[in-house]
Amino acid sequence: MGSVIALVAVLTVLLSGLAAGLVDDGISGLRALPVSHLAFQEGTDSTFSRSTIDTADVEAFAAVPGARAEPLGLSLVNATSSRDTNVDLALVGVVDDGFLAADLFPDGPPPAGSVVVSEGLIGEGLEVGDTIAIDRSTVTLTVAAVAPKATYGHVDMAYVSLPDWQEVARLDTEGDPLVASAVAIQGGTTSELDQVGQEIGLDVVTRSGAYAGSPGYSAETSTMSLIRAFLYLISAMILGSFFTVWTIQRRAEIGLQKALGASTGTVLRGALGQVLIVLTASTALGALVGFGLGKLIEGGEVPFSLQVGTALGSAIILIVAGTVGMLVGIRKVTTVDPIIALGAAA
Amino acid sequence: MTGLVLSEVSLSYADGDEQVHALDHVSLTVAPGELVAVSGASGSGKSSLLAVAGALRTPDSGQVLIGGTDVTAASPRQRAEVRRRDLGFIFQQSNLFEALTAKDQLLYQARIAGVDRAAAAQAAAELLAAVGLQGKADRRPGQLSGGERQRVGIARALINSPKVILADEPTSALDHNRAREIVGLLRDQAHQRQVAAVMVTHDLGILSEADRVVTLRDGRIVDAASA
Repeated sequence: MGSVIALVAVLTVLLSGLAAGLVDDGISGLRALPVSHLAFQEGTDSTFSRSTIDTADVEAFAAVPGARAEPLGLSLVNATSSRDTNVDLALVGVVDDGFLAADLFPDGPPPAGSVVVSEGLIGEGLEVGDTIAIDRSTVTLTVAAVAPKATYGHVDMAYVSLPDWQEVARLDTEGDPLVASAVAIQGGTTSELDQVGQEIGLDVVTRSGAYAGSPGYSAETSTMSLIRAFLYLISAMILGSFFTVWTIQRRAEIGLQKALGASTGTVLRGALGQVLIVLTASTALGALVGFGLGKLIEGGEVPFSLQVGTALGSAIILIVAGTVGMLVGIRKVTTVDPIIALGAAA
Repeated sequence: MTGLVLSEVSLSYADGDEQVHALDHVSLTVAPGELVAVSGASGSGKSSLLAVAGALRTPDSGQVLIGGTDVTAASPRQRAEVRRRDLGFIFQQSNLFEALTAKDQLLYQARIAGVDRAAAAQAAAELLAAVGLQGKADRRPGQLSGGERQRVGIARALINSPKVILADEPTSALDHNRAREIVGLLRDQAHQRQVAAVMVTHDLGILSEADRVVTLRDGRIVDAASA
């Protein structure tokens, strides 16, 4: 039984890593941005491709005490490199002298006509010095540098200056140089920012609130959550069934214990103690093996991210689910009649 | 009198559509230091008598006193308490815990009665010696002979200094000589420790080892005589 519990623990930990990896792949680029809030055009559900903001919007948020605001452009595009490699890009446009550029480009922002790419794109065949032509546009960019791996909607990020992004997005910027997808905000209180948003017709969300706008994010996270919930439920049912059989097999011994005068509570405590040791030890072993396997998978093509806390959390939930199943299974201890200790039915 | 007293005890149970009268107004008194053998054919009510005397079944009518405690209408919790405090059981085939050593069989019985471990360990060593199992305290049931297992059973029944010992066919798995040895040991311990002992058996060859023999037929005592 210990091996079954351990295997379930391995599966649970690996699935947790996969779930975390999918989340990372969907929003790691957004999560890495040094912003507290984002403001999107009203009714666009935090979707960059449907939202447009302008200079007046940026200035309205910049006027909030303690807040800094600047435009942020983000769109998903296809491109072809000078090596004839097709790549997908989550193209991000930022202003050169803003707080986003200062954080993203410690060595200075990319000059006009150049792009800083996530290191994930290097794995797809791009190299510094290559040029990439954005499909369905006349824009060609030179790869100037590599940034840490970051993705949005499972697509690697590529950072350009705001004017280059506006050109790719074909936005009409006549007389308004700050037209972009959303307002990136740093600081300020949510209530104050909400109030400003309501006044100018923008939806203000926290950075994590904006994750929902990532393509497929909500569907993926809810699917993974459902799979994990079912896994815990199945684990509880497996353990419940096992302990039902275990109790039935030990019926004679339990009857003997009761006949000798052990209370039902004493017998239950003894049984639970033994079973909890098996459950905890097996789960710990399985989680450890799962963590090791996860570390081998991590960094490969499969989106996978596993932290100690994630593995530990999965193991704890499994132990709790197992304990619930065990309590259901082991309840039969209470129904064993001590009379069975006698050789003949009385 | 702090031994065992059954007064006009009746017990019946359903067997399909029929009602079986397992015990029919049975009265039996066993004094401290006395070994009473209960014999009878299969279905005569021996096991039912043991179940009622062992606080494992509540009689339909009558009264059951174990060591002076009336368990007739006791709750399951109270009956369990009487079993661990005032009763010692010896079962068929010894009925020992397979995973425990001889010493641990006794310590388990002492532990559920709340006896201090050090005191229990000393008592266990003395009892195992008293039943002739010196040097075998660390053996598990599988490493002991049938007679030795029953000796462990007797020692286990005595560890909490019970007022009453109930033995259920304790010699069913033993040859005649060993059976007589075991019953002799049980009788000697009952005498020495002033414990009221009841032994249910169908083995007529060991009846003479008891102080008194009671014969059951169809749930009634039909004969009671000194052995």
